Amino acid sequence: MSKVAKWMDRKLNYVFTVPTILFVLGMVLFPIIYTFILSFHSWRLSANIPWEFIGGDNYTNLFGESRFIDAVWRTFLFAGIALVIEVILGIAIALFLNHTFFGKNLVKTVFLLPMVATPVAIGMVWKLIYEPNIGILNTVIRDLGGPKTDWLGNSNIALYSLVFVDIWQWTPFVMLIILAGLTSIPTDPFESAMIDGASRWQTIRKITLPLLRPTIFTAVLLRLIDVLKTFDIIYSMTQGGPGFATETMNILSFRQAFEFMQFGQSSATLILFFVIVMSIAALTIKLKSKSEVDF
Amino acid sequence: MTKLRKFLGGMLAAVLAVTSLMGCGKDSTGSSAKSESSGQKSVSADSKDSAGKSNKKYDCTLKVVGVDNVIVTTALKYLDELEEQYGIRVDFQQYSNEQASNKIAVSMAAGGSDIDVMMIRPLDETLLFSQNEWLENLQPYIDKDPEVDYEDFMEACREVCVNQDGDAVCLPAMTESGVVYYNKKMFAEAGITELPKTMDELYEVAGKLDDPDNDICGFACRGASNPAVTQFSCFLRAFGGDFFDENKNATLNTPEAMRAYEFYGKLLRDYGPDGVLNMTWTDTWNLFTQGKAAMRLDAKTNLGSWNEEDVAISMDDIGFFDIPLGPDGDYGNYYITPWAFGMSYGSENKEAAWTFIKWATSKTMQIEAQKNGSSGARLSAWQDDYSPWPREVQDLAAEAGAKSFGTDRPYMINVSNARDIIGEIITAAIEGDTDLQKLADKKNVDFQTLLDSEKTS
Amino acid sequence: MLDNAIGTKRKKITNMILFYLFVVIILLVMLFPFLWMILASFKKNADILNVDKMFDFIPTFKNYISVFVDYNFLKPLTNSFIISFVSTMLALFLGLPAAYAIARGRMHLFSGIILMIRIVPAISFLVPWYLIFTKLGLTGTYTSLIVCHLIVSLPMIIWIMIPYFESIPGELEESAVIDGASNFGTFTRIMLPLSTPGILTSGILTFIFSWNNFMFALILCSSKTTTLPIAIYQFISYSNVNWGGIMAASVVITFPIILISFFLQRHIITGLTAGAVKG
Repeated sequence: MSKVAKWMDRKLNYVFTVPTILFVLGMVLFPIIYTFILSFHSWRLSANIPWEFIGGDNYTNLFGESRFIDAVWRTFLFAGIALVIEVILGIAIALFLNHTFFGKNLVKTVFLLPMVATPVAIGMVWKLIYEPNIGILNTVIRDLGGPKTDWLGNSNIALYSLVFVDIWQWTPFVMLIILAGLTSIPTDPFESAMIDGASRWQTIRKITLPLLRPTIFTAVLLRLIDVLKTFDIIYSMTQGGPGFATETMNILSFRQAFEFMQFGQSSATLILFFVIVMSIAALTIKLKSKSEVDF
Repeated sequence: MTKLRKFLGGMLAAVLAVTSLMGCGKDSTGSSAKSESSGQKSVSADSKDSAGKSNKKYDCTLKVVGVDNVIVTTALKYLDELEEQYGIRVDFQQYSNEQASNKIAVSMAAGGSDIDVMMIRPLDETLLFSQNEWLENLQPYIDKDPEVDYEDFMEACREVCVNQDGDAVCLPAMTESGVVYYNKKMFAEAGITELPKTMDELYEVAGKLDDPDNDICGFACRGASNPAVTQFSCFLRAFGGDFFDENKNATLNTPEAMRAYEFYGKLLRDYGPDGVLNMTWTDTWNLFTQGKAAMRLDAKTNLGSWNEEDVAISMDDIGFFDIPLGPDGDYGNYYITPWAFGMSYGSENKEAAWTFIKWATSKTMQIEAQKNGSSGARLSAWQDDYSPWPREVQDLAAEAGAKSFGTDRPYMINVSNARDIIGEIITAAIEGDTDLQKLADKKNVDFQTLLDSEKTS
Repeated sequence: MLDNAIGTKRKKITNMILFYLFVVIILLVMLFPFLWMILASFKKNADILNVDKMFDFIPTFKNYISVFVDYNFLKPLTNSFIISFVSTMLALFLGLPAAYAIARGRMHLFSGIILMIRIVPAISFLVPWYLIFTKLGLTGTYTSLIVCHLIVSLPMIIWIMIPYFESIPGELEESAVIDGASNFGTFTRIMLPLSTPGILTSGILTFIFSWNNFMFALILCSSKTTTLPIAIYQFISYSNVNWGGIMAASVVITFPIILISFFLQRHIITGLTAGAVKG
């Protein structure tokens, strides 16, 4: 072996990681820095026209506009509702299915489908289901004698209709993680609890859930990051409409950039969005490590 | 490390070489030189001065970004002729409306060289694109090329295809105007013999036809906020209002405008389809062709979507009448230019791109498209009975041309923003907002701010 | 006593029936949109638009024919496959060694960076990348899309593989090193074969996510490199909302994914839950 090869082999950890990390960092850092700088400029996406420095105007504009504040609120509302329901439902279903039974693998496969299927296609199907005039949802409600509802067109309902799709799509994710977590927790505490005559609900509350806490936290963290960034489903179903009723931060920044060509403005939105997602993720991680100390 | 750099450098050079080979020369001389050197078929070198002659060969591939419509399908059929005549091959990139503008935006941000010709929507994009300097000035080309016959394009169309200095930046390809489609059978069943001529009559007739028990609505029109603005313009103008006055002062909260919102809102709330708030033209078209709507207002060109297999009514059952007049006898119909061809400022084949634009909007192509159900932007396309449309629609279209508005939305740079603002009032009106005036006042201020932001820039 | 036993048995059976009833209900909720998509894809548009014909219709293949003939879906299908496959392979090639090194060297900084990338909103990549690709003359090429997908795939592979490599006992490597194998040799000859299931898991998952990606292609593809999620939009701009066509196209897009899911279910679940459960 040549000297170089030997050296490389000794430093293999770095040979294996540094180029890859550099490539990834380059591809990610350049856009972030670019976006950050652009957020202090006004630029209408034309290579002919130079950027115009406008200081913090893009940011003050955003905070002066109800549209942005609404979008932030909506992003949290969407993420919050979806996350809480997904976690509760996911845990419940996982506990319910947590024993061997005939067909368990098939059930798990079916649970897999909503989250691996192409979101755009899923969005289209739900759009058809929700369609006020020809959708099956309204047809069933009509046959039951209920009122006709415009699930995606009514600005008071549209966001919740989208939340429902997200819940349908991602509850299985939480459920599968919890199910995997359940198989890895020790059985002894349960046996002693059974001997003590604890009811099923007591065992779940006092033993299962505390043992599952780290797993639940990770599920929440991963889901949280993704649900805040939801794009495909919203874009394919409502594109932020009706009006701004389903316009989350992600959709708003997309529209600012590609519909209104206000690229500086869009960059400012993106930077704020990034900061928000990042702090929430950091907060969650911190909470998690704290809870692990307690445990 | 140096090895790596050399390798990367080599790769980059190779890539650049390949891409520059794939493009074509800036002018015909350049391209002919290149094609000789690469041993391709030879090209007449003196073609540069003989503009318009059929022997002019460019030998290049133009990148054209556009959507799917009758103009394009017609043009695509004759691409072979284009190549034979001019040596222009077309890489036609077809997208949906939104995607096409996304595509154009990123390309232009990067210099615009990967697009030669783009299909644009003049009412939304002419001002924006020319302000962003994305569009090449076509006036010099038009001035030295009598073959274009620029005067043959309708005036309403030409007006929205020029930049702030009045120079043409795109050539119109198509027109569109509104009409009320009605179901003759339903009219007969309801015993209606007189077609509505005023807005009040329209409301009255819609009430007679509305039949919720059978899931049939009296009058269908767009209710989704942003798309609704264009059709709403017919009502706004009929009631004597407009989006802004000649000094660009917002007029969204005038008494005329308020009457229009209230009428439109009431009409759709009382006799419109369920779920109207999310509807755009495709939805109302489906309702109408499925026999679920007695009347429907939208563009005449929608007729191109007629597909015998997908409909539940017969073409013979459809009647047409013009947009009814407002309380003071005002007429509100629009006559707009939905599509035009423009040239990218970054195109590396400007002469060829111009030849393509001229060809795609020529009399011959306009007439061919007319035969396929287009609504031509050239006067000559209407001179004969080329269109497959029912005679009465053709007549209505020809009639509307002279007296209609050239725009159906605020003609400005931030159209999409403006439509969102106006759309909110329309939505509230349909929902039956009790304090519409308050909202309109508020939105008028927002709209004014937007208009003012364009004055300074 | 006997009565009691029968009673418990009966109770057991009732419980089981109730359990399966509940399972079936959950399954139906999960599956319904897929069933509805398949059903609608075999309907004429007129039947989709007519509520009374929800289940009473004559199935037609017209939508599928139009998907492949009129809209030439074979092209986006091939594009999607090429882009997903190549980017997955490249991501494995770069990601496996990196994950291994991070797991063995306990390079927490690097794993932190990988998690960070998940947080950045992808929209902020679009224009800067487009500018880079224009400078390189790569806009609208497979290369540009593959490189973009790599930014999503690489972190995913590393994320899944770190815990996997950590779970392989270190003694195996130590004995290999004692036998005189180089670090590189240990990795290729011992670690990689041992982690085939993990590689399969991360590979499938990145392939699926790449296949599903919408936003990058929305801005960065050209008409020649259009992928399936973008191609589906043709049915909306084409003069009308062609529901039958959209549904047939949706079936075409999701079918390969569903197929993979059925055969490799266990791997996908391991991949999705990786890092969440300390095994």
